[in-house]
Amino acid sequence: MLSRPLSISLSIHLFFISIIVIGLPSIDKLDELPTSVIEIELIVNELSKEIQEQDENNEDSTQDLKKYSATPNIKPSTRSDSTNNMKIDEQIEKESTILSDDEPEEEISEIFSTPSAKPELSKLNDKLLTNLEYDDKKEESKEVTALLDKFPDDRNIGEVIENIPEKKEISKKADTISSGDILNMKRQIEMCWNPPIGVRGAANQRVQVQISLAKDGNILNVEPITRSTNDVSKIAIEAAVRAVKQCEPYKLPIDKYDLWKEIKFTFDPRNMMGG
Amino acid sequence: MRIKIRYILTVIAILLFQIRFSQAALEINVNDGNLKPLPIAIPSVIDKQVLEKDLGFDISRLIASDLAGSGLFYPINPKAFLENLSSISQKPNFNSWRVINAETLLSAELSYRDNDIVRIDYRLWDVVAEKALVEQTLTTSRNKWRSLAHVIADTVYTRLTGEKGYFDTKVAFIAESGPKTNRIKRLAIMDQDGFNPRLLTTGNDLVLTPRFSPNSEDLVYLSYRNGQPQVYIYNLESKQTYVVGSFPGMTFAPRFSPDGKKIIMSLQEGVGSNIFEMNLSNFERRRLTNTPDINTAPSYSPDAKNIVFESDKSGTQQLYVMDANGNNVRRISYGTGSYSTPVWSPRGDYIAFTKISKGRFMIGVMFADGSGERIITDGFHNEGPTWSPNGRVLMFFRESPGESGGAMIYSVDITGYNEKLIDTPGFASDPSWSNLLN
Repeated sequence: MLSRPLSISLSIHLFFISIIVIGLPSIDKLDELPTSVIEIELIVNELSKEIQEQDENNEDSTQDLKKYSATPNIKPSTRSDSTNNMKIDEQIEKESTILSDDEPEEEISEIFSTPSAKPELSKLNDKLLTNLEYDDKKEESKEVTALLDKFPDDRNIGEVIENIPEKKEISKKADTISSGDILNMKRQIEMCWNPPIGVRGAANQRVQVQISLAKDGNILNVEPITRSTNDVSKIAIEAAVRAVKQCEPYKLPIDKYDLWKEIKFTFDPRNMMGG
Repeated sequence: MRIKIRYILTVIAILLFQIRFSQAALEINVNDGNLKPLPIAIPSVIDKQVLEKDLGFDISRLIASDLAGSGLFYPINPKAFLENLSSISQKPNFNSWRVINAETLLSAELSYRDNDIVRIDYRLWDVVAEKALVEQTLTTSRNKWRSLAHVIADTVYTRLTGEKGYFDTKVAFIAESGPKTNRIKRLAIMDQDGFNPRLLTTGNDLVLTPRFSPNSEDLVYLSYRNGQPQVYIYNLESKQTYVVGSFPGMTFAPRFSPDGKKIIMSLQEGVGSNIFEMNLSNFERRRLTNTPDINTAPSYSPDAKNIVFESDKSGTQQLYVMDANGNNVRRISYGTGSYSTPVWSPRGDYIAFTKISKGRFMIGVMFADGSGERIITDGFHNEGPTWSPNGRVLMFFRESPGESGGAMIYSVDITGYNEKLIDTPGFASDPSWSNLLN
């Protein structure tokens, strides 16, 4: 029979040994993964291919949409002078004039507009590559890749070039998704996400949604992880679900399907609302 | 003891395993979005009986106009629609709406009863999630179809933004006519979109500063009816006018309390004025300020715990907040220039005001503690802001210079975007926005 202090000591030791063996769970672990992945040639080719494919795919739909003029600015409605008739209600004057019902027809185009087309990955990539002064040259492609892999936003390009990892690392970690792919996906979903704004408490509506994807990038299942607690959170969750559904299909390397078949999105609008 | 240790170790192992396993999903944080008006498809309301030509089309067009006018929605051109809905019970083919980039769809069908009663069934669909968000039936008389459309637009707005709408509302204002040197000013009322304007007074007496009661049944305003400027109440149903209390001097700048049971206003005292509150049930009045300055333009916070007003006690007109009993007066405006006509937002967060600086009149907002001052519009003469019932939109009047110039009413989002002229018959000033009517 083990004494109590000994058993406690043993359990603590076992706990730490198990952590050493299994590894300490880390919430940030997945965030770190992409930063160490470099697939110089692959990323460039993938991006170029996607641009071409997207351009081809979108050509027809874009032409269709062009048929309808998009005029998002709504002009104030105007009415003719016939509406200058006003009804006087005060008992003193009974000769009230009834407002004319002859409201002139408004142009449909003043009210209805055609929305912009669905976000196009090719355009996102174009923008990304333009920002990075993309060039096909092999040497410079290293720079592009480093930028894609390391810095998702508008960070200093100079910092990145110095940190290009050795090619040796590539083969070691080829079984991970590149941060370029993740960046593309992040940009894609950002274009689809139109959260409710203005309403009080909107900035605090952090929503988590998990999706299961088929190999073709289409969604098999969407499951909001966040539960609604009030009308505002319900609307925020609906907006997040709309975003992930609208953005399908997701373009990700098929050979790494196991790594992206389940994706958990965390939508946090604080930065958008100055919070 | 051994069993306990084994149990603890097993639990730890399971927990660690689960934590590792849960990392299987790729995690992506999305911190930026594409803020844009929400695309909504609003087909013409289905009308199988067609007792009134184009009624279905007019209703759908007005709903679209309301939603588009808010700046938060983007009605899709009906020419782009691929599916023709023939009945409200027909489930939409969501693909045919998604392909035109609609995210939401409003389908509706109207029918008539006794020729004069219109019944409308409508459904708001989330086209992407393929589910109905709202299913409702409304009934009204046929000549109130505009109100019906506004109510539907409010419901859509509320369901998709999380905020109350503001379309089924009225605006009281001062209708102005005649030459600039001898303006005739009359109390008037209209829908928030400028339709259905009605004059309420004849123009024999000068009237100013109309303010809606919270239940939208009464207006309190200033009138020079008997030569002496006094505060009056006008009941919109009975069309009767009442003078508010018997004060020894000129009363002005009236406003209802949030519960509608009291009126707060200014009373001229010597060269200055002070703020009083009158209980409408027993006509008791209570003094809230007692200084020789010009203290005026009081406005309650929506919880009725505080009052914002303007005062020249510092030398220029500035904004002050006090407790509802008149205690704890603190200045909140410190920018250059002078501040006047403060109005507390129905949401409670902002105070809108008129600011005069370097000869220009601006409309601005600041938080209730005076921080975060932001100018919404600037120009020759902008004045008299009033809030939409959801605290999202402001109306104000803008005076144009010159002999032929005059006042017109505008609305603007509190972001400063989406400024619109409200089409009134003739010149119009001093708007006051009602609460939702239905």
